[in-house]
Parts: sequence; structure tokens; C-alpha cells
Amino acid sequence: MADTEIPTFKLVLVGDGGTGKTTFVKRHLTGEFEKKYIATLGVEVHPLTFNTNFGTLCFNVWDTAGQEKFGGLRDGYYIQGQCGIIMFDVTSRITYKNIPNWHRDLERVCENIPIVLCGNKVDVKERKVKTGAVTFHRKKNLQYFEISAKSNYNFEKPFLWLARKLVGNTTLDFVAAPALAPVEATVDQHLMEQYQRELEEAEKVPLPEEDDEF
Amino acid sequence: MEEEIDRVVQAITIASDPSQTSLHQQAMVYLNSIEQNASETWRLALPLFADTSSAGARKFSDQVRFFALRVLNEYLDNRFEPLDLESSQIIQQSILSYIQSEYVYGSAEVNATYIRNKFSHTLTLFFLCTYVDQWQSFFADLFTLIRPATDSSDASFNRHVSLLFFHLIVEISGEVADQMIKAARSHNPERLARDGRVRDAVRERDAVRINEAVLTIVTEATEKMSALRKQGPGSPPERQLSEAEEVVDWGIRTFASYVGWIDISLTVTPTTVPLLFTLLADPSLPVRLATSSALLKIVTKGLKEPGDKLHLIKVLSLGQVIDALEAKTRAKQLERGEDTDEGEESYRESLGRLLNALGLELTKLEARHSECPVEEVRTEASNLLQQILPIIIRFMSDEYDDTCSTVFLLLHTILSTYKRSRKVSSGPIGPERRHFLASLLQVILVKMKWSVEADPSEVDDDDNDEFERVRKELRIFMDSILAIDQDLVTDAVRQFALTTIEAYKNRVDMKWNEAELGIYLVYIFGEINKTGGKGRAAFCLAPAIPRDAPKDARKLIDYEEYPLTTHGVLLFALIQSGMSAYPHQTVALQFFETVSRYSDFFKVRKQCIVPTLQAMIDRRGIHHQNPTFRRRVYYLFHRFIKESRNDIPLEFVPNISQSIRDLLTIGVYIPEPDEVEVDLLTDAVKSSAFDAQLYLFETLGILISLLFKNPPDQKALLLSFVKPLMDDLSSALQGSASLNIKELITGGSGLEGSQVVPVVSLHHLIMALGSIAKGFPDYPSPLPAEYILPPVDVFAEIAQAILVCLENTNALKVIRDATRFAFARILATAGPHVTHFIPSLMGNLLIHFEPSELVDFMNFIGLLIFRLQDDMFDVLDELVGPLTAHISGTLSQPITGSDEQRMHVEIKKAYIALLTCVMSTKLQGVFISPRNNTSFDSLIETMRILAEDTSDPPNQRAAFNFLSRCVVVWTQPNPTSPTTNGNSNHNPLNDMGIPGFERYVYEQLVPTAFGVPSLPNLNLKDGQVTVVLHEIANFLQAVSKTRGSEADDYLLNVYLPSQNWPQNAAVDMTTKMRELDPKGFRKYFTDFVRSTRSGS
Repeated sequence: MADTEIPTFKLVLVGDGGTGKTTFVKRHLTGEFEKKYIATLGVEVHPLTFNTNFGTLCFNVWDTAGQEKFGGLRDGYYIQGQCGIIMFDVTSRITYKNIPNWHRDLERVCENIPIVLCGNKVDVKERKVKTGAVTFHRKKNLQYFEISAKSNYNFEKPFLWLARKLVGNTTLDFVAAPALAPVEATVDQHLMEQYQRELEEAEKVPLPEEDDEF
Repeated sequence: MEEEIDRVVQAITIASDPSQTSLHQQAMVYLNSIEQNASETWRLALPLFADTSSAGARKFSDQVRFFALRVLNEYLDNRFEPLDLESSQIIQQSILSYIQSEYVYGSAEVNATYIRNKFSHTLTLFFLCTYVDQWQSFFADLFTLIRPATDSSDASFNRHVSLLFFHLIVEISGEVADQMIKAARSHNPERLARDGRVRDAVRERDAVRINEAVLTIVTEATEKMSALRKQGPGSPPERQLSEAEEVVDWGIRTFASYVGWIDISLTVTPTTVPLLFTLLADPSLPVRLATSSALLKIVTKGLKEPGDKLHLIKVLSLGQVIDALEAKTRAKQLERGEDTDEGEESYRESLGRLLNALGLELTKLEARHSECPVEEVRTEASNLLQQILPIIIRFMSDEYDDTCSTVFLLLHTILSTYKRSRKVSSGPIGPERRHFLASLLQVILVKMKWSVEADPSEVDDDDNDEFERVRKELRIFMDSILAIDQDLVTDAVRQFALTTIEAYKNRVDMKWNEAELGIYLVYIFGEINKTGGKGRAAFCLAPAIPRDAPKDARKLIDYEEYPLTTHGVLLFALIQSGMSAYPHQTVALQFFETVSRYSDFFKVRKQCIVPTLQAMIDRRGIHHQNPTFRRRVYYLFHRFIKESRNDIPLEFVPNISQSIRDLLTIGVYIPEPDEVEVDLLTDAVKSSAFDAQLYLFETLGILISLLFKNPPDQKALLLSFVKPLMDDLSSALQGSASLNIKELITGGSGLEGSQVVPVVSLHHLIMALGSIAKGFPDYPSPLPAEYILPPVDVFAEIAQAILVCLENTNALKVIRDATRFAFARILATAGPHVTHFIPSLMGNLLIHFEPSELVDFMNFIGLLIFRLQDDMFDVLDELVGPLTAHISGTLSQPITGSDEQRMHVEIKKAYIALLTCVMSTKLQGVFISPRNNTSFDSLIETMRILAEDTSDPPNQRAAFNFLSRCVVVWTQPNPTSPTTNGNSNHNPLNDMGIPGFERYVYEQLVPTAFGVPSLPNLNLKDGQVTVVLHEIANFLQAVSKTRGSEADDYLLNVYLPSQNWPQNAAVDMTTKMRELDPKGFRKYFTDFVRSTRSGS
């Protein structure tokens, strides 16, 4: 099938170094197979295709370098991005703290694009950013998913949400699971349920008040 | 410079080229160096960004210009010293002429708005460096550009400059006043001070003008919007309209960005309020959403005086506005019907959020005396809150959960205020509150119903998850209302549930979701009705039994005589109704969930047991046609039998047992190759169908155990089930033998296809047999006289058979796991009748090991020690040596990633726990037995090293705890003479001291205890470290208490002086150690460590 027939979206994947962006995108095996190196260090582009009830669609995922040192063109790579994923690592507080910076940079270059926030590595029991502490998405109206790239947990969720937004149809669904790399970790279903409960609890809690008096 | 510019352009071209050329790496390094040297290269960046060709267009590509802005930002960001005059003027000049050419007269980067956005950030950074001193006329200069000399006929504002101005202000607010972005920066006092100066300067010099400019532009654009809209559709203004809308949208966002840090008297005025309300109902969705969040900022703005806040809220009179808009949007929602409009629903959501925020502010004003001491303010806030209650109810009843949940927090807060005031006064609640609660309750009951189109058995459906989530929330609300007015809730629930149940009984046609809700209410009734009694008293109004009454007094009471409580009535009606036969599996399942949850009910109405059991056993329950449904009922059936076992008529037991026989066939499911996640064998043993079946095996055990009064019958029935399983075990073993498993170094991960079938069968059979044993009661210790033992010989036979299987297949982890599972259960049931199998069991479990199993294994041994105490001595004696070797072997493997790191921590934890368990069951003789005493020193030394490892505080604490126990048992000056504790298996080694061990304590352990608190990487702020310090204190006191004055002397005269402790500090430490109670000394010691470390 010719590539040109498939609707394709540029997806910008950002977040601190070591949060698992590359691992995440490499879970999708066809994407991994067909990826094109644009730069060894600056960015890699992976075409991830998904079969939906509205036909095949493709995300060109720009996996940008998180480490400041090897940023290449950095936010220059965001140009023309149509959707975004901001990733942090639930076992590292600093990666969560940095999200507003990634979000601001992304919004500046790509105005009004759908963005998903992903908390990665939820398979790790010793998590530092508790589900209830994740509030950024509520302030900025982003979608939030807890994922575990190593165990493929919720791998499709961010893409499905973005696809629905981009196509503008909430009934869009994936019809066949993409081939994923075998799991290297397993998520504890009870743990996931507990996080789910905590997330629900957290939704009730007010956002920390903004201290507007200076 | 020209050359340099060319080089940069070239490098960017190479860096953005998808086909990676050989020069790529070089280009990246070069660009990096340009950015690093921004203090020089900004001079290059300016022309790269702004230069124009002779035709007037920008000379360089967008990609290049974007990079140039990066370099400029790098130069300007985080600069707190003023720029030198020359640089400052050059940049200012370039900026102004760029704005002039691009925004006043040009196309405003129309093809690359990201350049405009990036530039507005650059401009902000330059502003931050220069506004306070060098470029005080910053805004004045900008404003002259927004409205250029009015010689043109069109006097309206320049749209391009306006948008740039808006982006600029939003960026400035982000830099100097956004709490979230501030939190994402590393703390820098210099920066905080600078931001404060900028805010003050803006407030003082330009806030009025900025605000005026924003509002004037917004007003003008708003007028333009309505004028264009009046021209009607189809005419050319389409583009002009969306341009005007963009201006209003960004203008309002800009306004919202500074509401928080600019005087409220500027932002809330007789002109702004009507403007905002008009825009809140604007046809453009983005404008409405932006306005809604601007109002949210206003409502939540922090104001010092509660009176001011109330005044603000009154000026806004937001309640009425939301009231009207809610009604309007609801009508539209109704019109749309099935035709969902996500945008419009998100607008309703934003209104809900606004109402939520308004209500929360009012509750704050209304609620506490301390926060708001003025009586009138509180009363008025309370009245205002009263007025919005009906609107809350309306949002609450929105069928979109996202919208309805926007007011959840407010509702929780209001209900807890009501609850608090209930605690103060016990009188009836006011009619207004009661009315509110009653309407809320009705909404809750409607919302608690599943959608009739939903399929709750669909596990992966997000909508189902969402419904369950909301339902839980609703239940919590119900809970709160009940705490305020119990009768209101119990009456409503009772009525709803009974009506539903009655209607079903009378064969009224009823939708499944109504039936389900009726039963669900009975199900949650026990949770919400917290004031009800516990146990039988929850269901029946029987007199309380005095505490000193004999144990089986309850058995003598005939509960039939006493009336049922509301919950009892509901359950009785439910069971009589026959709703277990409702032809929708969600309804039927809810029935089984409910009856098995409230087993105490069956103790007061025993005649309900048999009909319930019938439903559970036949095609309504465990014989249902749907396998997923069946699996859940297996568990519920197990729970029901377990809880009601003493009331099940014995004559039914053999029949019930026989009725499950057909469900006990063990199936083996082999996953398809593309379903395999780990390896075929590991995946094949994981079967949810089999996991559920284990409940049936355990239930079988329970049922058979009930026949204890007739041992021959009991044994015969047991054997009739066990025999076939044993036969299967034997043939599965033969099947596996052909695989030559002993040779399989892969531990079975290489098995393919049907090869795994006999192994999976073995695994399942072993676990099934173990589960039958679990159904029997635990072996009592001590054994009471006249106790009738279960058929322990059968269990011994089972244990023997499993062991034979293990011997032949011990290379397979799944079999080792299953064996541990089964043996833990058989040992619990048959106790000393099977302990003689343990050495051989250990031997086989220890031949092959995976690191992950070590932890499970140690926990298993710990459990056995706890159960079997002295009977474990010989086994442990053999085990300690090899186990310690295994641990050291595993821990000496290099750590290459966080997974191994965690595994090591887990292993250490289990190991210390096991050794501590040996100490606490007084089996410490195994450490000094002839077999193990040569490795005693290294064992203690290992623990000492763990105690020093500050990277792992929990295990540090555990190690110190272990060492304290060592001190207590092995350094007693006069060990108590060996006594037997009545058990002939008690080994006298357990009671022996170790002469000379105190020298080791003094020379090694005490220095470790004093050394840890001064280790440089000890983080005192970590709560876990405090716990370590407490444990060290315990250790030192253990030494002091056990060795008495000798320890004091040693510390005072030898050790502490050698560490250069001042005499008085040493005296104080030893005195406190001796005299304080453990808690007091822990505090003293921790404070002492803190004080010494803060000084250093």
C-alpha cells in the first residue's frame, strides 16, 4: 500500500531524559522496523501505524532527545507537530516537576494541538510520584494515562485518544492490536487497580490553590 | 561574520535533513557550540533572525530564524545583571524595527505563527532584563505601534501587533507570576527578587495602561464580531469573523493571565463584568471557554479580607449567570438528543467548574470562625450558597459524567459542613437542607442506574470503568447524606429496593438496569448503614448477649422469633423474590454478590440457606452456561459455604459435594504462539479458569471437613475425590518423564506446544490437592483432648506423592512454585504428621533456584518456622549454611539496572526477616550448631555490613534489630540454665550464650552503631533514616541493659574517649542510655544526632 494514502500525523514525543520515551515508541514493532534515523542524537522518527474502524492511520512519532546536551535543534523539531505526548517517569519526581517547561515549549510551537500526559514505569513498585500527586493535566485540560512501556500496559491508550481527537470522532477504535515487543516486566493488576482508585480519589481533591498574593 | 552566518545556515540545513549525511554529527556539534557561546554569537543571531532580502522578505528560512531565536533566548535567559548599554541598544533597535516591519506593515509571520510565539518569548526575556532600568518606556513604545498614527481611515487597532502584545503579556505573566512554572524552575533567590521587582514596576507604571489596552482591544473586536455576525452567513466576513474571534480569545486569555497579580480593582469593574458575562455566552466556543477560565481566576483570587471576597462575589453575581446559562445549555443538550457535541459539553463542564469554585469560596466564607470572624459575612455567604444549591443539583443530574463530576468536590464540602453541624446540634435539620438532601438523593438514585445499553460484563470497556467510578462516588454521597439524616436515606433506599423486588415478584416487566439497581442497593446497604449493628445484629433485633455469657450462648437463641432490621427485610425479600433467575447475568451476579456478602443474615434466617444454595449450584450459579460468570460464582459459592458451613444441614453435604464433581475436571489451556508473553510454559500455567476452580477444590475440602463426626464416611468421601486426582498426577508425571526434564537446563522455558501439557497438568493437580487440604481446619496447637483429627494419613499420602513429582521435575520453576503452594497448605492442616517430608522438600527446592524465587522461598520457610517452631530445628540446621551461600552468591552478582537493584533489596529484606524469625522463635542455636559454627562470624559480619549500608535504610533498620536480638541472647552474663519448654524437640543450643561475643559487640558492633550517624551520606530529612536512628538507640540500650555497668565503663572510659567525645557528653549519653525508657532514649539519641550534624 502506498504511504500517501494513509492519513499521517506528526506526533511530538517530549519529556526529560530517561523517562522511557524511546523504549515506549520502540514497543511498536512495525514502527521500530521502519524507523528512519534523522539524527543519532537529536531525533528519531518512527512511523507507527494503527488499524482503526475508520481505516489505517499513521503517527510519525518524533522521539526527541530529552537530555539537554544532545538536543540538536530541540524545539525546532516540534515545528508542524499535530499532536503531542509529554512523558514523565513516576519513579522520578524531577521529571514530573519539569512538565510545565515541556508543555510551554510545545504549546508555543504547536498551538492548540491535542496533548497526552503519560506517567511511565508504573510497573515499578517504588514509585515516587503518586497517582494523586499528578494534577498538571487537570490544570491544562490534557488527557492523562499511566503506562508501563516495559510491560505494554496501556500502550495504545495515548494513541487512541489522540486519534479520536485528530479524526474528530469519539467512536473511532483500534480494530487490531499492533504487534508489540514482548513484555520485560509485568504490572501487578492489583497495583494498577489501586492506582486507578487513587486516581479517582485524587480527582476529588481540589487543585492546590494558586497563591496569587505577592 | 558573513562566513560564520553561512556556516550556521548550512549546519541547520544539514541538521534538519532527514537523510543523515556524513556531516550530520559535525553540524550538531557546531550548532551546539553556537548556542553555548550565546554571549558572543547573539550578534550573529540578530541578523539571522531579522535580515531581509532586497525584496523585503526575510532572508533566512524559518528553521534558521527559529534557531536564531534560541540563541538569543540563551543569551537573555537567567540574566540578572543589566545588559551593557551598547548590546541593549542594538537589540532594542532590532526588535523595534522587526516589529514595525513584520507586524505593523508586514504579514506578521502568517505562515509560521510559531516564530511569532517564540519571538514573544524572546521579547519577554529581553523585557525582563531591561524594563526595570534601561527600557522603562517599553509598553509606551509598544502601544504607539498598536495604534499607529491615525492618518489612515481605518482607526482600529493593528490586529497583528495586538496578538503579539497578548502573547507577550501571557509570556510575562508566565515568567513572573505563574506558580506552576515557578515550581518547575530550580530555586533561585536572585531570580525571585528580580521577578518581584518586575511585578512591582509593572503595577506601578503600566498596569492601568496594559489592562486598558487589553480591554479596549477586546471590546473593539467584540463589537466587530457582532457586526460581522449580523451580516449573516455566506457573505465574505467568514475569515474576518474568525480573526476577530481569535483576538477576543487571546485578549481574554491575556486578561486571565494577569488577574492573579494585578490589582483586582482594575480587572473587576462596572465595564469588565458585563463584558465578561456577554462573552461567557458568546457564540464562539473558544471565547466562552477562555472567559470561563478568566472568571475562575477572578473567583479564586486570593484576597486577604473575607469581606472583600464576599464583596467580589456579590459584584460578580455569578450565581444568577450560571443559573441562566445552565438552563440554556441544558435545553440545547436536550435538543441535540443523540447527536453529541463534545465542544458544547466541555462548555457545560467549564460552567460546572465555575460553579464549583464559586461554591467552594462561599463555603470557606461561611464555614469557620477562625477564617472569617465577621458574623454578617458568614450569614451572607451562607445565603448565597443556599441560592446556588438548586443549580448544583442540576449539574449533578447531567447525564455526562464529566460534567456532573465538576461539582463533586463542592458537594463533598457542603455535605461535610452539614455533617459537622449535625455533631453540634442533634435537633431535626432545617426544611431547606432536608429538601436539598432529598432532591440530591433522588438524583443519585437515577444516576446510579446502568445505562440500559451498557454491557457490564465487558471488562475492558472504558465507559464501564467510568460508570463504576462514578457509582462509587455516588455511594459516598449517599453515605454522607445518611450521616446527616439517616431516615431520609434508609427510607428512600428501602422503598426503591422493595418496590423493585416486589415488582419482579409480581411479574411486572422490568428492565435489567432497574432490577440491577434494586439489588445493588441491598448490596451497598450494609456499607452505607454504618450505625447498624455488627454481625447478626445488623439483620435482626435480638437482645444483646452479655460479654460473660458462655461461648455458644448464641447457638441457643432462636433468632426466628425476633423481627428483622431494614437490611434484614431487604435480604429476606430479595431471596424470596427469586431474582437469581433474572435472565440478565449482571442482575443474577449482583444477586449472588449480595447474598454471599451478608452471610450473617443466614444465621438469623436459616431457612434461607437451602434456597440460596440451590440457586448457587444449579444453572443460575456454578453451572451457568457462561464461563466468566461461573468463575465469579465459584468464588462467591466458596465464600458462602465457608461462612455458613456450621449452619448447612449435614445431610445435604454429600449431595452438594457430588454436585460439584463435574466441575472439577482440570483442563489445560495452551496459548497460541502469538499470545505468549513470557514463555509458553509460564503463560500456560497462568489460567484464570483454573484459579477460579481452586476455590471449588477448597470448598470441597470445607464440605468434607464438616463430616468430622463420622471419620470413616469422611475419609471415604475424601478419597473418592482425591484418588482420581492422584491417578491423574501419576500419569501426568509419566508424561513429563518422557521430556527428560532433569536435563532441561532452561527450566522449561524452551518447551514447545503439546510438550507442556503434562507439566501444566502436574502443576494444576498439585495445587488442586493443596487446596482441598486448605478447606480443612488448621492443625491445632496444642492439640485439645478428644480432638477428632481429619484423615491426616490421606494428606500424608498426598504430600508423599507431590514430593515424588517434585523430585523428578525440580528443574521446573512452575512445579517448585506449585509445590510450595501445596505444602504450605498441607502442613497447616496435617502439622506434625507431615513434617518428616520437609528435609527432602527443601533439598529438592534448593537444587534449582531463580533469584526471584529466593524471596518466596525464604518467606515460605519463615511461615514454617512460625507454625512448627521447635520441630523446625533440624531442618533449619541443615538449611542455614546453603541458604546463606545462595544469598551471598546472588548478592555478589553485579547490578546493571534498577530491576536488579530492587531484587537485591528484596532478597536482603527477606533474608534478614528470616534470620530475625529464627531469633524470635528462639531457634538461634542453629547458628552455633556444630554444622554452622564455622560460618557464624561471617554471618554476623554480613549483618553488620548491612547495618552500615545507608543506601538502604529499611534493611539497615532490620539489621540493627537483628543485632540487638543477638546481643540479648548471646551476651547474657549469666545465661539461664537450659530448660526444656515441654517440647522434646527443643534443642539446648538455643539457650546457650556465646562466651566472648561481648568483645565482638564492643569492638565491632558498638563502633558501627556510633559510626552510622556520622556517615556523610546519611540523609536526616528522610523519615526512614529517623527510624534507623531509633533502632540504633534500641541496640545501644540492649547492650547497656544486657551487660550493665561493664558496658557503661567501656563506653565511658574506652570507646567514647577514643572518639574524642568530651567527658560530659559521654557521661550524659551513658546515663541516658541507662536511665531513660526506650522511647525516651530514642528521642534523646535522635535529637543528639541531629544537633551534632546540623553543627557540622
